[in-house]
Amino acid sequence: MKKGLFIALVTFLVLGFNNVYAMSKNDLEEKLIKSYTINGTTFQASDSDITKIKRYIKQNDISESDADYISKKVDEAIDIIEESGVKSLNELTKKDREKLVSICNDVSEHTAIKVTASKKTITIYNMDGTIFDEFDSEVVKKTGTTNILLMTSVVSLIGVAFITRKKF
Amino acid sequence: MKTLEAIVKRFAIAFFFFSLTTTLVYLGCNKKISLYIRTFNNFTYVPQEKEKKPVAINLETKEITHYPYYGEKFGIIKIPAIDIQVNLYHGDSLEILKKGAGHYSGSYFPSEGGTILIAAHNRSEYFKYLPKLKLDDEIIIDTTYGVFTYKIIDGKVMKIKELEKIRFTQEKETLVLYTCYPMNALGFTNERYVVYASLTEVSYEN
Amino acid sequence: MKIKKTLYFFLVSCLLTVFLSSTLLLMTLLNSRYMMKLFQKNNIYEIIAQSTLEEMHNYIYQSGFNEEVLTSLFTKEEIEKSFKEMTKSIYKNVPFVLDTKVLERNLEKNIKIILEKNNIMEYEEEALNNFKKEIIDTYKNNIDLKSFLGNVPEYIVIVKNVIITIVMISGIGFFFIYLYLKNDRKKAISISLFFSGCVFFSFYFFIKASINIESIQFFNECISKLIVVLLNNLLKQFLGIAILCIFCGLLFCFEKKREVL
Repeated sequence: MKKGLFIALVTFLVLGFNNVYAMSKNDLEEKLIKSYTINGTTFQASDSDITKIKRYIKQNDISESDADYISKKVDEAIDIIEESGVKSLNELTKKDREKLVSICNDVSEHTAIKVTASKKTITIYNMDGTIFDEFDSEVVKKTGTTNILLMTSVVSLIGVAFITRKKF
Repeated sequence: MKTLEAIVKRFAIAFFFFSLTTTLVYLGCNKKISLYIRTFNNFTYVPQEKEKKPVAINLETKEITHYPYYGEKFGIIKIPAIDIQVNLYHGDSLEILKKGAGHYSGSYFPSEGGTILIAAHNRSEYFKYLPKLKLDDEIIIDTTYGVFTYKIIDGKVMKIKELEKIRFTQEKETLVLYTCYPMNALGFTNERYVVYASLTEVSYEN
Repeated sequence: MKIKKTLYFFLVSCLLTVFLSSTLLLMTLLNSRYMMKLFQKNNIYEIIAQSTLEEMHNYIYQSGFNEEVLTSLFTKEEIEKSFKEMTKSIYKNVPFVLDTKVLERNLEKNIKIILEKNNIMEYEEEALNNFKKEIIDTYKNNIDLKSFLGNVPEYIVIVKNVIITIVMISGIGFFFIYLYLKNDRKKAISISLFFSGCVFFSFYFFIKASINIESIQFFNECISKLIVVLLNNLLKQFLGIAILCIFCGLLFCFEKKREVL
C-alpha cells in the first residue's frame, strides 16, 4: 500500500513537474516578441514581424514540445550572442555564426515547422502545407542588420537556417 | 552449379565488404552527411496541400480563426467615388500584384483593429485614380468573412523610405492604400501616393 | 593467409570503386563539354530565355510601360552563346563578363519608340534608369551564374586536379595488386565489380530517397532546372555503371571448362 502510494506520488510529481515546464503557445509568443538587451543593445522584433509571429502561432498547432524546444534554442542563441560580446550580427566570428546556423538547423529538424529558401525568396509554410509567407531575401538583409534577435527569434520560430546564413 | 556457387560466394564477400564500408562511413561521417542532406532539403519542399480551410472568423469574439494563405484571394476592394473594384489577395509579391491588390503580410487583417497595408499598381483598373479621392469618400473591403467600410482621413505623396516607417499597431483599425506616384510616370519612381482611411462600419456575413 | 588475401580483395575493391567513381565525375560533372551537351539536350537555353522574359514581365506593371518594351530584347542564340562562354570560364577559372550591351541597346531603342509613339516629352531620368537597371539585373541573374557561384570555379580546378591524381593512384594501385594476386585475379575482379555495383546502387537509392530532386528550388527557375537536370543525369550514370559492374562481375565468375582428355 505504502509502496503504491509512493509510486503514485512520484508519478504525479513527475507529471506535474513536466507540465509546469511545458511551454504553451502563448508563452512562446511572449518570448519571441518581447525585447531583449544583449551587450547593451536592445533588440525587439519589428511591428510587422510581431504581427507575423502572432499570426503563425495562432494559426498553426505548435505542440508544447515544439514550443519548448524552440524556446530553449532561442536561449541558446541569446547565450551565443552574449558570450561573443558583439552589438551587431556583422561582428560575429565565423564560428559563432556557424553555431547560430546549427541552432536553426536543429529547430528545422526537430519541429514540424517548414521553411524553404532559395537565394532570392524565403518561403514559410503553414502546417497544412499552404504558404504562410514569402519574402525576398534582399528585404530580410536590408531590414535585419541591427536586429539580431528579430532574426534569431523569427529564425527559431520558423526554423529558417537560411536567413542568418544568407547574411553570412 | 559451380559457377552459381562462385557467383554467390563472391557476391557474399563483396556484400560483406560493402556492409563494412557503409558502417565505417556511417560512424565517421554520419553527422556531416546528415548536415549536407538537410541543407539540400532546405531547397526542396513540395507543399502537401490538404483540403484548404476557408477563411473563418469567430462571430462572438470577432477573431479570425483561419487566415488566408499567401497568394489567396480573400476579398474585393470597392471604391465607389472612382468606380473601381479590385480583387484583394493576401501577400504583395510582384506575381500577386499583377492580378490585383496585395495585402502586406506583416500588417493586420480587416477586423483585427490594427493597421492594414494594401498595395496595387497605378493602372486604371487598380489604384490609378487614388489621388482623386477626397476626405470622407468610402472604401469598402468585401471579404469572405465580413464587409468593412472605411472613410478617408488623409491622402498624400510619400517617399518609399517614409512608407517603410509605417507602424503596424493594434491601437485603431486604419486602412492604408498605396500605389506608385506620379501616376503616369515611366519607370520606377521613389514616391508613392498613400491614402489613409479609418473604419466606420462592419457587417459580418453568416 | 586467408585474412591477408581478404584484405587484398577489400583493398582492390575499394581502389576499383574509387577509380570508377572518380573517372565518372571527371567525364561528367567536371567536364565542360559534357555539361554543354547536357544543357543542349534538355533545352536549357530555351527555358532560360522564357523564364527571363517572364520575370521581366513582372516589372512592366510597375513601370507604366506595356509589353512592347520587351520586344526582341534578346534571342535564344545570344543566351546560348553567353551561357557557353560562362560555362567554359567556370571550368577554366578565367574571368567572365556578361555582355549586356545588345540588351541595353535594344531596351533603349524600345523605350525611345514608346516615348515617340505616345508623344511623351517629360519623364524622370532616374525612374527610367531604375527600370532599365531592374531589367538588366534580371537578365544577369538568370544567365551569369559565375558571379553567383563565388569561389566555386577556383575549387573546380583544384578538385579536377585532385581527382585526376586519385584516378591515377587508384588505377596504378589496382593494377599492382591485380598483378600480385596471381591465382585469384578473376575472383578479385568479380568481387571488386560486385562491390562497386553495390556501392553505386546504394548511392543512387540513398540520394533518391533522401532528396526530392524534382522539387529543388534554388534562386530562380533556370538554375533550379539546371540543378535538377544535372543531378538526375549524374544519378543515371551511377545507376548505369552499377548495372554494368554487376553484369561484368557475373561474367568474371564463369570459369573456362577444362577439356578432359
